[in-house]
Parts: sequence; structure tokens; C-alpha cells
Amino acid sequence: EIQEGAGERLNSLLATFDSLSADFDQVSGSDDSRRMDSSRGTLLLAKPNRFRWIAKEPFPQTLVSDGETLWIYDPDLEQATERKVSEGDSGVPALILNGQIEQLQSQYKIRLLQEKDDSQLFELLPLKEAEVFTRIRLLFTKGVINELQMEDSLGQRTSILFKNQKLNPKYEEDTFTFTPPEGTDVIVESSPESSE
Amino acid sequence: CSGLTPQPTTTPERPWSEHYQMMQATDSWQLTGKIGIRAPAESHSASLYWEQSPQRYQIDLTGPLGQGGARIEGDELGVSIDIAGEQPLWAPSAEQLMEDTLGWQFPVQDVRYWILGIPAPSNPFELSLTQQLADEIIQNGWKIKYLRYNYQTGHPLPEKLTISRDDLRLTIIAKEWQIPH
Repeated sequence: EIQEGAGERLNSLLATFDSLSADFDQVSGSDDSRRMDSSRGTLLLAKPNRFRWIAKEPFPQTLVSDGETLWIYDPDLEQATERKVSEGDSGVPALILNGQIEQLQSQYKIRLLQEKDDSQLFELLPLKEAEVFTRIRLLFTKGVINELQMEDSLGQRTSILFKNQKLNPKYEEDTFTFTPPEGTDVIVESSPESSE
Repeated sequence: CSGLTPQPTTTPERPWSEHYQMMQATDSWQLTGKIGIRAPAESHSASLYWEQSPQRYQIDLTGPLGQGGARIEGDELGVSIDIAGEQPLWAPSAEQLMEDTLGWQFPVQDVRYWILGIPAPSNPFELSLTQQLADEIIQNGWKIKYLRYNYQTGHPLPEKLTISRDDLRLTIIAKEWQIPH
């Protein structure tokens, strides 16, 4: 098994782009309940930690971060939450896609499970018990991320399949900011006092 | 929005008393939808899956990108709440446990009825109707407002409702109801 250097390999694969755009299909469900939720949408991303995640179905939801503020907008709820992005706040998917590998390695051990012709399958396992995700897998093909799969301790599995990936697209100024439409119930959360 | 009350489309109006009885007898159902939580300590949204049977319920909440998962399971003995990445906790009643683990709570035993569009059988209530359907219920210190109904299962079930008390407001969108006949 190729042990050492997995972190570096993942780092180098994620370092090939400064910005990314892709469509995604997301499927989540747990093995005990027969229920599967699927969602489709688009991801726009620009390092170091700006992204816009637009999910279209089953529930339209938009997540926007300019690296300082995270907006979560739910059109059907007519609700938008705005909160400061604190250090530990940016979720694991954002850490991965933004290539923040050192931060990731403080929480997860990275292994290169498989490598054949031009695809690599990485697996991340939590270093300590209390991580939200019990297993994360990343599949790269021809140097581009193809699939991100996350399992949490409730047995809930979420897999995100990317397609139409474009590396280093140009973005307009306001891509990573969010202005709630008229009539939206905006909730500005004070930054969580870092109790831990 | 303009506050126009929803016009029921084709279904002939059933008198409220009949609808009320039918809903009270509906003790097994599944709901897929979304919940918006506006609370002092914790404001966010999550997808909602609620599976109700006569003696048991299971409520799954999942945040965006599969994060922030929580499962609430209860029966007559008590309730357990399992949050992704944490140890499951059990308590005789849901309300306090929810407050401690989720930072918000609602009376699960009552919401089970409110979500169907009827008052809970336990305590007195105030009720206002529009076209033979509940428009607003006040019960146990909570106010429930019904913003939209849908007729997907042949009879009217709430599609959008808010449940609020003091500075906590929950918005529930019921995307899909499954009621075994």
C-alpha cells in the first residue's frame, strides 16, 4: 500500500487549479432507511476559500462564502442565514476542494487506496473519535476530482459526483457574495464565542 | 407574500369536523421536507425526514453537504438523539434533550398532530379555520400558522407551516407525504 506521500499526492492534485466550476449530482441516504435523497446543482470555487454551491433539487439551496462570511439561503423557506466563517467552521468538503490539506491532516489520516492508469482513489479516516465524518473518499481521474463520498457516524452516506469540470475559470466580482432577495428573512448570527 | 389564503383546487370541501377526525386517526405516516430553524442559539436549515408510527417516531435532520446530521428516535419510554460525530444521548422526554443537543426544541408529541394540520389531543387550543382547514392554532404556548396546503395524497395536508413560541420560530416545508391507507 502506498502510505507515505498520500497527503502530498492529494495536495499536488488539488494544487493544479486556483478556481474550479463543475455541475454535481448528490445522493445521500443511510443503509437502514430505504430513503435516498438526490440533489443536482453547480459548484463554483476559487481558492483560498471562496465558493458558491447552488443545489437545485429536491430543495433549492445556495451556500456562498467569500472566505469571511458564509451565507446559507433557502428560497422555499424564504430564509437566509449569514455567519462569520470561523476557523473550524468551513466544513470538510470545503477544506478538500480548497486544497487546505494541512488543516485536513490535523483531523484525518490520508491514504492513497488505489492508483491505476490515470485515476487515484484517496481515503480519509478520522484521527480521533469525535469527527463528524467516519470515512471520506475522493476519486480523481486525469488529475480532476470526480467524486467525493462522505459517511458520518449515523451511517448517513453522501456521495457527490462532479461533471463538466472546468479548471481555472474566470469569475465576475460578485460571484462569491450574496444579496438576499426582497422579503427574505435574514438571520445574522453573531460569531460563535469559541467556547472550546 | 400577499397573504391570499390558499384556494383549494378541485377537492370538494370536507367539513372541518370530518377532516379533523380523519387526521386524528392517521397515526402512521412519512414526511420528507425541510425545516428552517430560527433560534437565538442556533439558526440554520436542514432537510427533514419524519417517520411516524403509533408508538414510535424517527426524525432525521441533515444539514447541507451531508453535514450536521442528527437523528431523533422516540417511543413511549423516552427519546434518543444521535448527532454525527458525538455519542448518542437518551432522556425520558425529547424537549430538554433537544435543547441541550440541538440548541432548540419543540414538543414532539404535539408537533406530530400540528404537522398534519390539527390540534394535539392533549390540551385546550384556539383554532381559526379557512375553507374548512386550519389557518392558525394556538396550543401549549405555541402558535402554528398554516401558509399552504397540498392535495398530493388526495386529501389536504399542510405544505408550509410555521411553529413559533417566544424567540423560536420553525418553518416546515412538507415536500412529500406518504400515508399508508
